[in-house]
Amino acid sequence: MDRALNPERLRVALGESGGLPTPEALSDLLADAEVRLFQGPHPIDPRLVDTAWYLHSVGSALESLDLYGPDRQRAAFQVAGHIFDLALADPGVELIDRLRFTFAGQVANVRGGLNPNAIAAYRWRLGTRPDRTSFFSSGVALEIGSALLAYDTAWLFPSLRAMRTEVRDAEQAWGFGLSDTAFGAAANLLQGSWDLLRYLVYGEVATLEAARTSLERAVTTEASANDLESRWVAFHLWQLGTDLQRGSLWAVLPPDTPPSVARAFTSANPRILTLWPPQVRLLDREREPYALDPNVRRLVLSLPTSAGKTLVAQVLVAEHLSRRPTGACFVAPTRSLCREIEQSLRRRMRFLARPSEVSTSDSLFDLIQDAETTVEVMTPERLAYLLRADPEAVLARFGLFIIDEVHSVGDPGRGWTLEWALSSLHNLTRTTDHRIVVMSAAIGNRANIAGWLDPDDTGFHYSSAWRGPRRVHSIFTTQPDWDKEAELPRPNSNSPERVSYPLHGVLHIRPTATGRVHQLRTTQPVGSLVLRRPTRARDAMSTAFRTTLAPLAVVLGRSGPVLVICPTKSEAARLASEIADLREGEGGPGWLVELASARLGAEHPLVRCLRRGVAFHHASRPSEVLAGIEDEVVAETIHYVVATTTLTEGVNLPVRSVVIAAQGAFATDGDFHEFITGARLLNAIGRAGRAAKESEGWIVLARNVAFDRSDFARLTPGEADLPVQSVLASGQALAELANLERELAASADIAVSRAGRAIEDFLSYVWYVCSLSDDPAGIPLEGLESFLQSTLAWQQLSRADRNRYRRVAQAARERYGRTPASTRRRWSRAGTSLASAAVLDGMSRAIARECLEDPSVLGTVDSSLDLVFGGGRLGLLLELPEAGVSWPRNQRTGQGTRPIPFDGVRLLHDWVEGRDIRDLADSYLAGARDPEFRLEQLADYITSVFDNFLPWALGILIGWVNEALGDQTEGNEVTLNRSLASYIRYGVNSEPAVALFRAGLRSRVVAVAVATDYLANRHSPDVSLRDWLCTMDLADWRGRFAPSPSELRALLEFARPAQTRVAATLLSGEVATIPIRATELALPDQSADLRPIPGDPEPRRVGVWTGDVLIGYVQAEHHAEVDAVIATGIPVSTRLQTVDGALVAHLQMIDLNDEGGAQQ
Amino acid sequence: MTEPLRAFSSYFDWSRRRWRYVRWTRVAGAPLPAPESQELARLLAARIVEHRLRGGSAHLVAAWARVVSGGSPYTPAEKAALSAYLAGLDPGHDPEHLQASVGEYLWYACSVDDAVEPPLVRIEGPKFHATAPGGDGLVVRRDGQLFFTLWEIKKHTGSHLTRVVRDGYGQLSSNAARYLAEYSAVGQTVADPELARLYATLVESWLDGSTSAHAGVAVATSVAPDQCFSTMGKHFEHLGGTDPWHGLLAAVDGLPAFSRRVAEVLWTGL
Repeated sequence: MDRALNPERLRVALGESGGLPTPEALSDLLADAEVRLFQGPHPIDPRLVDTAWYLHSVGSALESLDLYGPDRQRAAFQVAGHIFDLALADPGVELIDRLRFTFAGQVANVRGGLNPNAIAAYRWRLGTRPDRTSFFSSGVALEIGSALLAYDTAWLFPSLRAMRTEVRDAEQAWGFGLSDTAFGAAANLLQGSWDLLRYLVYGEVATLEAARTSLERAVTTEASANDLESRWVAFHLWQLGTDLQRGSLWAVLPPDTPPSVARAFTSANPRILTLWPPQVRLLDREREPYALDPNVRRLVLSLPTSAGKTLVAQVLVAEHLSRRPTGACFVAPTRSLCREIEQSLRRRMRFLARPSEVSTSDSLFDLIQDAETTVEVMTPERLAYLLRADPEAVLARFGLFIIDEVHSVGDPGRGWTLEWALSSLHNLTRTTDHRIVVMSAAIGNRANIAGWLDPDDTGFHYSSAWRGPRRVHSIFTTQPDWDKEAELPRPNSNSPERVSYPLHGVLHIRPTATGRVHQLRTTQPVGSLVLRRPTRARDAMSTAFRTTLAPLAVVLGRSGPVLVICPTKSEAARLASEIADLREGEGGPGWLVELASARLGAEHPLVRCLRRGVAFHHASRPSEVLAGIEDEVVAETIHYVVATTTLTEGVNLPVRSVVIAAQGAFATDGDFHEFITGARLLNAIGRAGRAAKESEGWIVLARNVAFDRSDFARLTPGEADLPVQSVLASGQALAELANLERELAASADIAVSRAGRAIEDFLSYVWYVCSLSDDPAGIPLEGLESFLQSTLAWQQLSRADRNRYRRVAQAARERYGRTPASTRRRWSRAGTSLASAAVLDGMSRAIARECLEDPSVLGTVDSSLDLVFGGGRLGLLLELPEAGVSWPRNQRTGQGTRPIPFDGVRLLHDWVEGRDIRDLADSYLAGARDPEFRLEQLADYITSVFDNFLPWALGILIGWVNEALGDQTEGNEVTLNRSLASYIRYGVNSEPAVALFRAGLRSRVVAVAVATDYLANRHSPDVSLRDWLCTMDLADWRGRFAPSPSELRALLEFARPAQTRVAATLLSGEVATIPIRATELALPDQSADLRPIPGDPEPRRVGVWTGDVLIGYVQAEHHAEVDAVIATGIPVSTRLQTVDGALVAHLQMIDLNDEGGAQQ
Repeated sequence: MTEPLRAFSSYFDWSRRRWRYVRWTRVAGAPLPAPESQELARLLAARIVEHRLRGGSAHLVAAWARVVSGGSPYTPAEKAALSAYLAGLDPGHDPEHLQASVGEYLWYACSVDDAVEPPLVRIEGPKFHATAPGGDGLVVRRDGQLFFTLWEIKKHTGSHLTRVVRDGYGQLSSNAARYLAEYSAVGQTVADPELARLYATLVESWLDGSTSAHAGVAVATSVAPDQCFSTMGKHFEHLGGTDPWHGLLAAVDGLPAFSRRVAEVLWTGL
């Protein structure tokens, strides 16, 4: 499937040269090498290596010699890069040759336009490179070159500085400069690399020119003609200078962009020193249109997973913040994705000169975030709520809207929320300078989407199929060995006669879309097929197809993390256990095993799996355990994750290999339903191949049928398979529309219609549109028409169906006009169907009345919960169509399956009090015998009811109750606690615990522990939670709260005072001053270094050192910022001083211009 | 330092041999009395010093000559610098590596001094900053047209000569594309356009078996037999020009001891 294996591309690369394999033969050699990789590391055919060097020399030929032409040279580099990648997979290659292959491959990949593969090629070196390399040691040129092309700044800055010192010392001691001697090539390479690094990180154009001069001199200085290696490395860096400059953010961003924007990317981890080709194209101001053009107000981006669209979005955000006074709103479909985006944005925005705080709100109803918040990452539901509540405030606050995964407008459950939010936003900003950016990896009908959001075609619509890592597709089937029939013993004469055949796994690998399919058959059986005599019907004693996948997963795992996608949670759990069975004695991460034991019980199957480096991941698990699994997959201590598609849709977790265990499952109707298709499939297989970590990803589709070559087409859904269809244009919605039409014909009240979810949502939209007008009768007809036309549905409906919707909309508008003003406005803001709003409205009035009768019911959390949910109200709420409750059952399936009755209000109390989820499952769902299933059922209930529905419904209720109380008490302070919704969502009962969750903590146990400790031990109520936490350090936190590493990082972010500017201050060249916790060895006016404490568990405390003597610690409140600076590798000077009796550290970036270099 | 180049060559008996299609050069040094052997070591050491100390460090050649001829000792600066420039060639170095390095310089000196071969245009000599002992070299000559010979250079001290030569064929065959790709990249920057094009197409010429591509295997040894390199053609059959295979056997009596003497001369006073 890959460009490099395409014989036509190979023909272009190879040219007419004899003595080389033909394009077809080369394609076969490459395919063989790819296939062998599935079996484990393997040397590649020497002919391939020769060909790679040949192609490398073709690619390297100077343009001025006019030998090959740019297309051939680019193709040559792409193929050469591919071969060197394959060569590196052989662990038997000696170190010096590995370095040569690495550098050659990096050069080829960068010049072939596959930049992330250049970083991936170096990855093996990260764990093996020495901390320091002497300038005078052999192999130094390759070390420098390969680190530079991998942007390994953490090694480069200290190492190159140390080497430059070596050179300077030598020159002083010897009395002459090295640059025109036998060391000249190396010295000039060092100088050129240093300057190139400085250009890429700091953007000083003069250093780029200096780099070119030094590198050219390294190649051409006659005195060092015999240092071939240094010259070779220098030659390529010299030639790459233009490519690197073209991709550098410093060159791509408009010249008047504040430098801190580029620094946010070149300094923060992961560092982006150069952009990838589609990113460059998007931002290239030399071409019209381009993404940063202020006249481009609508941007539709369609790029595959791993093509870097998120980074483009980050650039847009940073550039927007640096130029405009408004903030940015980033919308992602799930809260977990929002958190991920928030964290990665925060890492960058802390380097911006404009004080920028990034936040995400789990709460739908916080109208205004902290005043400092400039970027808010939110779900479509929250954006919809904000637009309903106060659209003007939304437009005043945000000037840039970025909508990720925009294809989710087609989601039958939640798609309409996004569609109407986006449609409204689009309509409200048609003539303003607000910018809307929509992105997706799975839009088949791009023109349709563009026509929706950019009807005048004045925006920028960009799509590209580019991606860094290659992908190899394969299909797994099983094959019985019919020659090895074995008769099975019959326990008694009534038992049927059975025969068994060993089953072998067969992997059908197609390295090229057009080439032949290679087959690998397991040497050992992966199960058995049992047939009955004489019918030869398959017997239930046959090995489950799922089980045969376990050995496959284990083999794939030798090359990197494996994600197996199962259609159901139970399949995922079973397959994970089966993989774990095959991995005896291999350890998983200890802390996560402990955490899972504590949360789920030591006997839980997940705990056993984790011990062997295997996990199963689905929404029915405690969120801190899921977060831990995600972290450890990234850290590669967990090699196997078995999950449902909720993982691939909710979290960005790339891996080396993805196995689709099945594309569907048997439903209760007995039929097999495929649902892992289209965008969902694309999302899952898009995780294969981690950009910048590996140059190749493997995708295996398991098929429990005989192999059929045409099944490969399943892995490449075309545009026709990826339509983004408005919910309102679906057959279901049109059927519901017909229902409503019938109801209206029978003179039913449109405001209480239950014609169906989609049509009710549409009515709610019309209601909202009407509320935007000051006209007492609602919006004028033409205004309503404009809003209807701004929907995606209007692009996709037939003229006749549009008219049907139009008529219904007019009926709703009329009903709006007849509804009392206060009621209709309230309903328009609810975001529910009108019928549900009517229910909530009645309920809120009743609650308000009860409050007024006895205000003491508002006194405690418990009494407030009883007030709101008692008297059967919880049941009433859960019956609303919006609730989507997952009711716990006693067993998975089969006869006798029934719901388990329990006291929902009591459970709610226990949940909010912080009771352990396992205890709750045992107490309330004892009717489910299987403890694992019991826990899963409760978790599903908590997710659907406590995490999603109730906080949303309660938010509406609280708002309306408090409105009513305000009206009737004339401003007296009788209010229902607004935090109740958050208490329910997080399962806590205090504000401090909620604050921790909002700051990114995911563990309920840790949040409760911190909050309880704080409330019990703070010296005064005036001491904030943050200040109290900052009286301790990481070691104290570990001892008191037992947080996981990811929770500690969240606590560190929480501890960071808003608007802390250590990183941005330092990077702008100014002095940043932070207090330190000094040991008795600390003295004023000492120079010091900041570096982590060796031996500390991650995240490590940051120590203040003079040499090897620890003289202090960076305090918790500044840890996150200082850690970010250390991670850049950028040299920083530290000087201690006593200020007002306390020791502080003055930090300043070392001026690299003052350091000098080799004598030229 | 100016050393009469022929003086070094005159210590050897040069003969051209041919075995089937392989031509080879036998450069045989006879056993020498100690003072002459010492002088030969000094001459080779001088060639090494000249090779390594060029450009801005060329003044150290005179300092080295001064010390070797019994003059005033090195200044601390001279000593420190020379220790770095002559690294890897000190008497304390691993003998195997040392002999291989001396072997490379013997090949280099013989290639430069060879008066029979077509005129030398450019030679890519022993590596400075070498990552491994022994290795490759490239010689470009003009015989009407430019042609190049890619050399694999081996030393023979213990095992059978035929095995060493066979290893040389194998290494050259395995690594030629890589060696040439590296030379190709940097060599194409030379000012002469004809030479630049030759360099830019080195790998292509080699794999195509172009007439401009020649293979060479050189062995430094203690004793020079009369027959050698007889199977070379089989290993590089794809090379299609006239006389594309070339052997060089450079014999110095007692190569291990000689190598050590060269190192001792080089490091005199260091």
